[in-house]
Amino acid sequence: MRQSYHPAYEPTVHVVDDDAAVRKSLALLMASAGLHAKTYASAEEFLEQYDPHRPGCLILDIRMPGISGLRLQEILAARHDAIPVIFLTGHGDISMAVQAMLSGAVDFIEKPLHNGHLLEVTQRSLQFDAQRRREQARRSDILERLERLTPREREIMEYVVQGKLNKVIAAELGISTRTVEIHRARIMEKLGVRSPCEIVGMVLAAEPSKATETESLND
Amino acid sequence: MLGSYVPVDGGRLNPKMSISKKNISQTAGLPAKARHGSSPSEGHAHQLAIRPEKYAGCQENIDRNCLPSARLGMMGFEQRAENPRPQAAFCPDERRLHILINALPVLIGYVDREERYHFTNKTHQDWFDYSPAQIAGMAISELLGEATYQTLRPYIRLALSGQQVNFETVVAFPKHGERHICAFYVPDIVDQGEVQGFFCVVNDITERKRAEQQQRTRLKEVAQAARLSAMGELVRQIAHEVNQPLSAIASYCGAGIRMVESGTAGALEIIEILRDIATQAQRAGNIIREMRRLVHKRAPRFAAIDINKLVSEILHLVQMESSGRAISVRVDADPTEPRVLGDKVLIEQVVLNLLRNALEAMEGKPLEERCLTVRTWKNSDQEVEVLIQDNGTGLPAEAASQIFEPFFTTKSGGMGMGLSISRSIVEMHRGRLWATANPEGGASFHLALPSSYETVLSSGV
Repeated sequence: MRQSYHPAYEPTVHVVDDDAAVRKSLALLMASAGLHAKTYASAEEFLEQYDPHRPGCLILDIRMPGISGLRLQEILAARHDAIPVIFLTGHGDISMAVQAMLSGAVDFIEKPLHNGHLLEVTQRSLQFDAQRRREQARRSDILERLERLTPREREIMEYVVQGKLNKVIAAELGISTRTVEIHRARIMEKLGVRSPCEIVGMVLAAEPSKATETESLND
Repeated sequence: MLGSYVPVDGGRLNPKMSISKKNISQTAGLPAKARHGSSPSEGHAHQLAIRPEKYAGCQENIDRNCLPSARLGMMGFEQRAENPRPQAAFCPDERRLHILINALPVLIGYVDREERYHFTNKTHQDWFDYSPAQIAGMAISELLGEATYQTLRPYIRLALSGQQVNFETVVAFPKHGERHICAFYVPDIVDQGEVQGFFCVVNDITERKRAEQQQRTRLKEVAQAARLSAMGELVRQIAHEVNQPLSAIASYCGAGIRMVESGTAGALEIIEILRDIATQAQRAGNIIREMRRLVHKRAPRFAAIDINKLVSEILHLVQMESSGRAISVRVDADPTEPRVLGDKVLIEQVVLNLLRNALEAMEGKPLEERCLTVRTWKNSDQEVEVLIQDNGTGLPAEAASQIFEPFFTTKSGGMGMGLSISRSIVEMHRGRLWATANPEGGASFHLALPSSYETVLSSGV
C-alpha cells in the first residue's frame, strides 16, 4: 500500500475540519494508508500555511464556522488553484454538495465516512493532481519554447500546423520556397522537435480543453 | 336597568351594548311624524348621544356603520323638533336625514308591531330590488321567505318586547343566497313603555367573514410551515452533531485495521486508537442523552421553591457565562424568603432564559452603562413576583405580546422559542409572564408564580 515518493514530490493530504476528533482520526487513517496528511482547524489556518506549489489534495468539511468549505473552494478557484477538493458533508447537505460538485469538486463523502471509499477517492485525487502538475509543467515548457519564435516564424508555424506544403506557404506569403525552408528548420530547432507532426502535438498540448481534464479524472 | 342584552351566537354579545329601556322610552322618536309634538328635554337628547366608550370592543358584533346611523336617525329627529338652535351651523332636518339614511351602505328599515315594513332606505330597496310602494305594509316573512323569517323570529320578538338586540347570523335570502349578516334591532318605545315597532339595521358581512376565514387558514399554514422548517433545522443540527464523533470513530477503525494488517502498529498504538474511539462513542452518547433530556416529557415535580435562592443561583450562572463582562446587577430580594410552588428545573429554565435575554438586550451598550435589576417580592397573598429589568434595546415596537409567540425573534441567531416555551411553562404553573417597557428605556419582564402553601399560610390568610 505504501508508496514511495521523492521528498520534494511527496503529496500532502490537507484535512480542513473544525472538529478535532475528525482531524486526528483522518490524519491517522491517511498515515495508515501511507499518505502524508496535514490538518487545519479552519479554512483561515489552511490559507495561511498552504503552499500551492507542493502536490496534494484537499479534504474539506463543507460546513465550518468562519470561512465555510464552499467559500474556501471559491477562494481557491479565484486564484486559479486547481488542487483537487473532496468535500465532507453531513446529512441534509445535498444541495451544498451539488453546488460543490458543480464548482469542480472531485467528490463529496457523507459523514459518517466510509473510510475505504474516502481513501480510494483520496488516492485518485492525488494521482490526478500529479498528472495535472505534469501536464502543467509540460505546457509551460511548450509555451516557453513557443515564446522563442519570431512573429514570422509563428506565422509560418500556423501554416505548417494546417498541413500546408512549403510551396503553398511560399506562394501565399510571397516569399521564396527556400526562405520557408530556412524558417521551418529554425522553428523545429527552437521547439526541439523533429517532425511537423510533433509541432501539431505541442500546439494542442499548450491549449488543453476542460473536457480532457475531467475525462482523465473520471477514468 | 333591564337585563336588556340578548346572548346570541354563542353569547358573543357584549353586555356593554345594552341600552336601558328608560333612556330609549324617553327619546326614541319614530315614526318621526308621530313624535313631532312631544317634547323631551335637551338633556334627554344628550343622553342618547353616542358614547363611544360604551361601544369599545364591539366591532366584532357590530359594524361601525350600523350603530351611528341608527342613533343619528333618532337624535336628528329629536333636534329638529325641539332644538332649532340658531347658532348651530348644521341642523339635520328630515330631508337631510333621508339623504343620509339613503346613502348609508347598510340596510335600514322600520318594522311595526305587526311585523310589517313601514320605511326602508335606498340600500334596502336596492338590495331586495323593489320600490318603496311595493314594500309599504309588506310582512317580514313575505320579504325574507319563511325559513329566514323563522331564524330571525326570536330576535324580532325580543325587539318587539322592548329589548335592543344585536346579533350575527347566517341566513338565506331569495335573491342573494346565504349571507352572513350583522343586525341591530332598536325598539321604538313610546312614553307609556308601549313598543310601536323597531328599527332594523343590517349589514352584509359575508365578504369580511370570508376574508377573515382565509386569513386564518393562511396564518395556520404559515405557522405549520414555520414549525416544520424549525423542526427540520433542529434535526439537521442534531444529525450534524452526532455525525462528527461517528465519523471520527469510522476513521479510527479504518486506520486501526490497516495498521494491524500492515503490521505497522504495535499494541500501544492500537490501545491509543481504541481509547480515542471510546471517547468519541461517549461523545455521541452524550449528545443523544442531552437530546433526550430536552425532548423527554417528564412529569413536572411540584415543590416549594425558595425563589430568592433559585434566582441568585441562576444569576450566578449567567454571570459566570459572561465572565469578564462585569455589569452592574441590582438585586432586591424579598427578605421574607417567599416560596413558590413549582418544578425547580422548569422555573430555572424560565429565569435563565429571561436573564440571558436581558443581558443580550444590553450588549449594544458600553459595559459601565448596562444595568440589570432583579427583584423578588410578594405582590399579593397568592403570588410572588420576579422582576427582571434591563436598560437594553427594549421591546420591539408594538410587539409586547408578539414576543411570546413561537418563532418570533429579534435576534439574528434566535429561533424565537425561548419566550414562547417560557410562557408555556409559567402557564402550566398557573403563573403569569409578561413584559413591559421601561419609561427610561429597556424592558421589564415580570414572572408571577403562585405562592406555596406555607408562604400563603405564613402571610396569615
